[in-house]
Amino acid sequence: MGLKKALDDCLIDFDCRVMITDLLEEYKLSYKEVNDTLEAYIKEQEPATKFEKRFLVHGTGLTNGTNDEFYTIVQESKLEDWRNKLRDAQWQLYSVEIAGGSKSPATVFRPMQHLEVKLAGVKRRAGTRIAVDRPTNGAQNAGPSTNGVHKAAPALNGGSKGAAATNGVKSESVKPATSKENPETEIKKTSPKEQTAKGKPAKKGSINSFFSAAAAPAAGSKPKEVKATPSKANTMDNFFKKQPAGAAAPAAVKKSPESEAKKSPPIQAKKESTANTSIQLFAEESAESSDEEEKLDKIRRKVMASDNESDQEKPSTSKRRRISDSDDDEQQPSKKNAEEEVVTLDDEMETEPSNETFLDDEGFVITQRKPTKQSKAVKKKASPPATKKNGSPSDSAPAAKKKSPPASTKVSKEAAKQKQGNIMSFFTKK
Amino acid sequence: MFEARLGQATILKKILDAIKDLLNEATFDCSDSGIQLQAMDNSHVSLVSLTLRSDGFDKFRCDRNLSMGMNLGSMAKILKCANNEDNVTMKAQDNADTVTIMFESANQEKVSDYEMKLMNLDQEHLGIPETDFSCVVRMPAMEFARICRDLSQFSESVVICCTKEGVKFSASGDVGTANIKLAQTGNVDKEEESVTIEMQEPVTLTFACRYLNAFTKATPLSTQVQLSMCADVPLVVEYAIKDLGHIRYYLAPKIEDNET
Repeated sequence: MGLKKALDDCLIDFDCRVMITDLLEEYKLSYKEVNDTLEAYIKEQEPATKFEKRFLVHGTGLTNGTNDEFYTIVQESKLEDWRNKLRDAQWQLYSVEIAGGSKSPATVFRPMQHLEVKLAGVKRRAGTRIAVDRPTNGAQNAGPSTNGVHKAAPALNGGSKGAAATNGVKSESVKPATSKENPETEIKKTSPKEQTAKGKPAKKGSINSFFSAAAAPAAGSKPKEVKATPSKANTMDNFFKKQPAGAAAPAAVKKSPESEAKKSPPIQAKKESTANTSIQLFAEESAESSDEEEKLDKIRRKVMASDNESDQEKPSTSKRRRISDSDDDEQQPSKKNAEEEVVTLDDEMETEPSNETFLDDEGFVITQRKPTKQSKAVKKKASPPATKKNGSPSDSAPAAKKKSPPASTKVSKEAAKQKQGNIMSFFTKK
Repeated sequence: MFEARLGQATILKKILDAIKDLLNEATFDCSDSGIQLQAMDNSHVSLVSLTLRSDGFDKFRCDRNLSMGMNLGSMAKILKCANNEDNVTMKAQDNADTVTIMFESANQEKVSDYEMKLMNLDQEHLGIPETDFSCVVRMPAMEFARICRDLSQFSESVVICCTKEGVKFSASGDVGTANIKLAQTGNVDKEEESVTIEMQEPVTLTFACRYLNAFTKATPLSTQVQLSMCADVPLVVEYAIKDLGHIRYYLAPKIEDNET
């Protein structure tokens, strides 16, 4: 059910505070869509009903000189104050309720759990038309890369132009000239990659998603970069994204390419500088020639044919595979290298008079702290540990002294050396 | 005709629980002296010996020696149908291929009987020689169960080292090593909480945790457990069943593998 329909049907209870984040999640719409629909609804109702709005305000610093970044949620009446207080102030509608109508203490702040992401580059691809489950309200956001979180007009330096400055959402409309495509087609045409991107939040339960989010340098570094830079570009976007630690990071990664391309050249430059990120891949894809796209499509079809998984996920996983494979390739060799290093180290250590390390028959690394080299047979003598323990406690002590290999090796060695006896060998048949 | 009646079904339930993890099937040998069961586990590493004396039963009648091969899983299922306080009676005709297990509530208002098919089990009985054990440790059964459970997290094997000072259970694995020492208790008011060690000579033996843990299923039967050890002889873990008999587990020690 669309938000508009829900509003028309009075399904949204404005007696309690209605938060944009909730609507974003529930209706899987972009911020602009939600905002526009809500504003329209409020305008309709306003004469009869008075609404109390709260705004999310972001500014890079207080006017008294501190450079801290500020996010705050303020009432509409105090918005003007805050806009004046903060430099580079941006603001967006955050929650709405009927004035004086809150029945119960409403949630003041609730971070996004899931993030709707539209990818820029992949949308341009022709031929991959996949139905989108959400309705197009006509007021689709031209910036497909975000979940609709918009920046205020970048010209708002100092925040002193508060009166003249429009709501951040409206300021977005300054830009549409740059968007080359019809917003409607952008929404409807979603590549499988994008769908995976959408599917991502649903997959959050998977531990892989957490690891990948943490491991991917782009995902990890991206928000930090944004925070660190004084440029206000993307800061409001990131507010919505940053809240859910798990969900935000990947979404931020996917969202960025087009929005950056369209909105913030400095960040784009930053992105270009980040190497080996999925963002880059997507960005590259968007610039790929049609030939390459065809190739990709072929690959996709192959993958779809070979796997039972949904075609929404598959192509992107194949895409991802490339990335993860490359990671694996990087990691595996390192593991191998580590093993090799051990072996080579062993070789080196063997040459040293103090320690002697070698791989025994069973593949365990044995280190013998003896100046003289000993044959494996000698070491084997030293290694049967537990059995000696069995003999008597006094015997076990020297045996343990003889053994120098690491504990775990020793243990497994012990286990290997011991055999479970058979009860039949102790008792005779009647 | 064989008929044995126990005042409380819970005892039989506990006995079944104590052996059904190790044994799938077993033969109950009934004679006028009582019921005996001896069976090895599938891997022939441990042996279970159960003795229920005839005088421990409320009523015991066995006209002719009778061997009843039973599926212990099935028997456990039947026993689950009994309330703990129910009287339980096992009945079988001579040369019968079924056994009847009857539960009667204390006030006789509810009587239920279950008939279970018997099996012909070709089981070999082992002669267990009398052994003078070097060390006999008596300790709280709960404590032993706890130790086995804890140490099994560290290793597949547990080393039991018994000296005059006490008994030490240790295990070492990838995680690290664990040592649990129990000293003989002095004057303990409660006998069931005491640790006593009778030692002729120190013994150190290694056993598989898995089996020890299986043995501890008998913990509800007794407050104390007795561990009897001797070098190169199976460990005997004995749980006394009050006024009825005992259950003994024999576990072959882990031995040095000379082949490697």
